[in-house]
Amino acid sequence: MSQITASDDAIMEDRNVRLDAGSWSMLSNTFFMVGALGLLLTVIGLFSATKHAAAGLHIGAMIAIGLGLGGMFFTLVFHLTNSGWSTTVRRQFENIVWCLPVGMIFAAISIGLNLYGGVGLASWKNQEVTQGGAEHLFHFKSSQFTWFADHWVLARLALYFVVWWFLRRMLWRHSTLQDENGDPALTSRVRFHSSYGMLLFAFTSTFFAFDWLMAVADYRFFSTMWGVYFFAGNLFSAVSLCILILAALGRAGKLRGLVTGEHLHDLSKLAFGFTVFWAYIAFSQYFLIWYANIPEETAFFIYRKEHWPLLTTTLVIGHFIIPFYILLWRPVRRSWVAMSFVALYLLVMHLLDIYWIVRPAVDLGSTAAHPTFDARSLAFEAAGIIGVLSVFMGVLVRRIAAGPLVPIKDPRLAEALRHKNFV
Amino acid sequence: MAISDYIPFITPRAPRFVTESGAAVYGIVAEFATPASVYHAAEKMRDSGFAKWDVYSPYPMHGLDEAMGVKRTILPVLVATGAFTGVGLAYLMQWWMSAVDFQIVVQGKPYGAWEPFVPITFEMGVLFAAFTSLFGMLALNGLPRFNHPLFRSERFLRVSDDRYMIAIEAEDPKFDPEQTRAFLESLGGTDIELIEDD
Repeated sequence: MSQITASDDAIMEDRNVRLDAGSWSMLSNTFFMVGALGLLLTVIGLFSATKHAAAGLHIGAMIAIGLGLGGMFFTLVFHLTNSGWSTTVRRQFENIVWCLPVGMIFAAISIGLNLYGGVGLASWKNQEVTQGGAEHLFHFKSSQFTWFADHWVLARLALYFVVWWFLRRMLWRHSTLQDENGDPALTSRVRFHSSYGMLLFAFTSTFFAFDWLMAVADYRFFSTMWGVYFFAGNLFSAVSLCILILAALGRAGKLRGLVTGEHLHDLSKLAFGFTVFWAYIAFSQYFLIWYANIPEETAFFIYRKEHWPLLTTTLVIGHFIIPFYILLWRPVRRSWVAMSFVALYLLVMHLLDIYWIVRPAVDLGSTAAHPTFDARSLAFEAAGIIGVLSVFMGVLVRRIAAGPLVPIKDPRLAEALRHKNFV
Repeated sequence: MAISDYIPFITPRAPRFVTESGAAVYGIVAEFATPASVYHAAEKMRDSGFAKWDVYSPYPMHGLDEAMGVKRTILPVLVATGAFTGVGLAYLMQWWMSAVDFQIVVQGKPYGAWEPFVPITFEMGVLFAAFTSLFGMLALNGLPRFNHPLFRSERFLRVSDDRYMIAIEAEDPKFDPEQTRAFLESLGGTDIELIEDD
């Protein structure tokens, strides 16, 4: 392993690895104000366009949770593989994980509204669906296995949240403690905790996606691929957000020599890889359901293809084909400016993906020929999404400005400084 | 053996330089004792504008590509072309077979449905990409070949042991037996040897 040299000490000076006190507070305050406005509109919407506002809130919460989970996966994987190159970018993933509770709070609100508020977005709480010819399925699933009994749904949710809280705290504590005392033993200890942590993460993330995306969309529909689908989208969005944060920090003149074009290249490769991974998972899921042609499973896709054809096509082209061709070019993957735009674009595509999953649930069971889609309902949906995500971003920006921008005493730091791609 | 020995209608080019015995000159090779010396010599070689030359060492040296000014390979472009060719051909083949030439009803699905074509299209893309990357790499490197003129040098065999070498080919426009020898000497090269071509 390489050693820290005198020139590295200059890189590690505070003005390079810390944001000045008070900087970016304008940004976070703007986010908070936009967030407050969005949430206010959502509250109004809950009384006038209940399901649309509830869908907006739910979509926002799912994206926020997804970002946190994606960041958690990357942090766990970096520890598990003892990777050196990622040391200087890891703190931004940890910051994203730190904000996971924002998603959890909004998810809890959205879930509470669905279970006890009678908004009827979650399909098994939607009277029009449960009493519309599929009641035998509902009874089979909800009484025999009590899978959708309120207390069991809540108990599962509590379990996921407890696990996430524990993992988040574990990752954060080890990393910040090392910032203070520089104990290298913390690195191996967090690696041990990451091992079973990864298993816990996989199960909770998967079952959370079953409950709060798949069943919300349509409880009669099931896909064993769903957990991976959610996971793929999360990684994709978390790595995009990390690229955006690092690009912004670079523009602010920070992290010179710490996060270089080589690190960007690797992060872009991850974004590229997970673009393809998402497409692979999405297609595999669709392909088997298309082939088997079982009405229970196809209903999900048929509904979206018939009522949301434009959005479905946009996802296929915009979420896979366009980013595939853009990210195929090496110069794009190594340019901060280009990758900032691409990362923003990828985040929008992830938003459309979650929208495509949750939004059609609003019209589920309705006998109308076309889904309710007008400026007013769209405004309430957007209010929820923007409200939740703005609060998330506000907290994230505060968090970034509050501490060092890299794990300043990580034993693998020297390795990360000399990181180079040979291809 | 050159390619012209196997294919009679290719006439070999006249060699630019010949040795006293009349054999064509392949190039000139110089020996360096340490990785640092060969690294700095490579930088000077790069800056003085040589085109057809190479550095030989017993192991891969980090940063040598930059020191030599090696350009990035065009192999990725070839591989991408191969992959897209594979994808296009595979889709076309399947579409022609199942929707045009021999229509069979399978599960009541449309003849030209794109879904079942995807796995094979993907596989063919991968196959063509793999073939192009292997054979493209071999072609760009001029492989396979039975022998290399540098193996005529006894000393050269030590590059697989404990020596570092720089070889300049006579094909290089800047090559001149006397001047290049003097230049290599000025870079710190020892045991400079003129190598005859096969």
